Amino acid sequence: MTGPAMPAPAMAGAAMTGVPEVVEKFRAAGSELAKDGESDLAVAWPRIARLGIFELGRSSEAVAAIEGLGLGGLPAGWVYAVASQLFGILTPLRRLLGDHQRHLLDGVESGEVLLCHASTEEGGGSDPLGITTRADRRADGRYLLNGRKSFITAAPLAGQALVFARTVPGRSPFALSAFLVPLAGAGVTRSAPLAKSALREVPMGVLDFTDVELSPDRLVAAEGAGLSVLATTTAWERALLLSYALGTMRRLLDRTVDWARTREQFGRRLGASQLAAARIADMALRVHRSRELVYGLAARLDAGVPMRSLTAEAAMVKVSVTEDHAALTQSAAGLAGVRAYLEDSELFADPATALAGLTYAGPNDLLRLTVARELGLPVGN
Amino acid sequence: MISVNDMCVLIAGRLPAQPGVLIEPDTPLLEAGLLDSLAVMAVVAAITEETGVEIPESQIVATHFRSPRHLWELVAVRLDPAPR
Repeated sequence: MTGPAMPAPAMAGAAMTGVPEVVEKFRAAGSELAKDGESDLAVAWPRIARLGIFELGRSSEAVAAIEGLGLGGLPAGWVYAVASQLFGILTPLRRLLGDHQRHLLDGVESGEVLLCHASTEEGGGSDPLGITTRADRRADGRYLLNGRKSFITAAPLAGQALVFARTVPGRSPFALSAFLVPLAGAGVTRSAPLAKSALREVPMGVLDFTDVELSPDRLVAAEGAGLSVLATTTAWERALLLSYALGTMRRLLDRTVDWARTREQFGRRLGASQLAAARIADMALRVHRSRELVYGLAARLDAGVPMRSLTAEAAMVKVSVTEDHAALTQSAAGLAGVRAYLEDSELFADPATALAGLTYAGPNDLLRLTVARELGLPVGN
Repeated sequence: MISVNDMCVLIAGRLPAQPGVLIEPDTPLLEAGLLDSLAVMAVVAAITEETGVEIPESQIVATHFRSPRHLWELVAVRLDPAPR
């Protein structure tokens, strides 16, 4: 009973869902990167890009690579930023841009240019038809962009932003258009990074646009198609963004298991408590179903199922994984005691980052309405 | 092949907040405010599921959603690209 604990058995790699060899490759690379002590994402970004993460062809491989980075201990905010750019912006843009626009993505795969998704405004992020940022088409065909985008992940570092602006007034579903806007040009102002408590390793900021001139090739898809572009980017994001949490969740589970096998209190090991053991079993269940859900969706996308047929499913996956991430973090924190709150501890559990998942990429309660609507219920937002 | 009347049925079935509303080939969907943003995306997804036609984002614009007939023409051309 009090003898040395046996090493924890590794979860059977070959038998697991996913692409284990890709997970392992990126786990090792992520672990190396995490060890070099760099804390600035601007410096780390090209190093992460050089691992080839933005060049993987299949969604299942991309999910596996991102899980690997998290498992390797790369800061959660960095892994989130990678997943957010890859699934929420780059993957949809590759399909949306015409041949004459491909060059607009130069430098993204190599990490020289970071993209951010600029839809949310101070008035809210979930009601796109409430967007007030305007793009007015002039007689020469160029657009003039004016407005403010708030709470934008990676805005302080980004080279370009995918900006959603209204090209006509009112709440018509065709009032919006999407533009790929270079952020180094005249008329663009960035705020300092906002002080925040979740995903702290990736900065968030405000972008102000004042009479920013845009050539017509900066228009994505077509004028008036902004809402369908947004539906596409958000569906991809909801479907696969939470790959970023899979590695963190597995890591926290593994460390909690090690802790419960060795921690002695009340004359026994923590894991001998039925209550603690059952909570850890629940953590494993949450990791298992989250992985199955994200990899399952990736597999269907790889098989050619159109994302548009998967929007309700993407919403369900996002709700399920974020709620499992939050619950798993709460369990881990309860079992780790004070060590859960010490950033240098092996048992550090970050409840603010886990809870933020209930809000970003579509608040979970609004996503429930997406699902309800798909079921045919007469419910609006 | 989908008929213009099939398109009316498809659209009517995606307007759960407007039960019993009559959708005809020339019903002015936008002027009448029948299509909200969720309904547009639901109609587009239903077209893909029922006909296999994937309407690209660049075609999801007001011109093609004025009436069921406008939308049907867009889908019919993609189902049968030969001149008729």
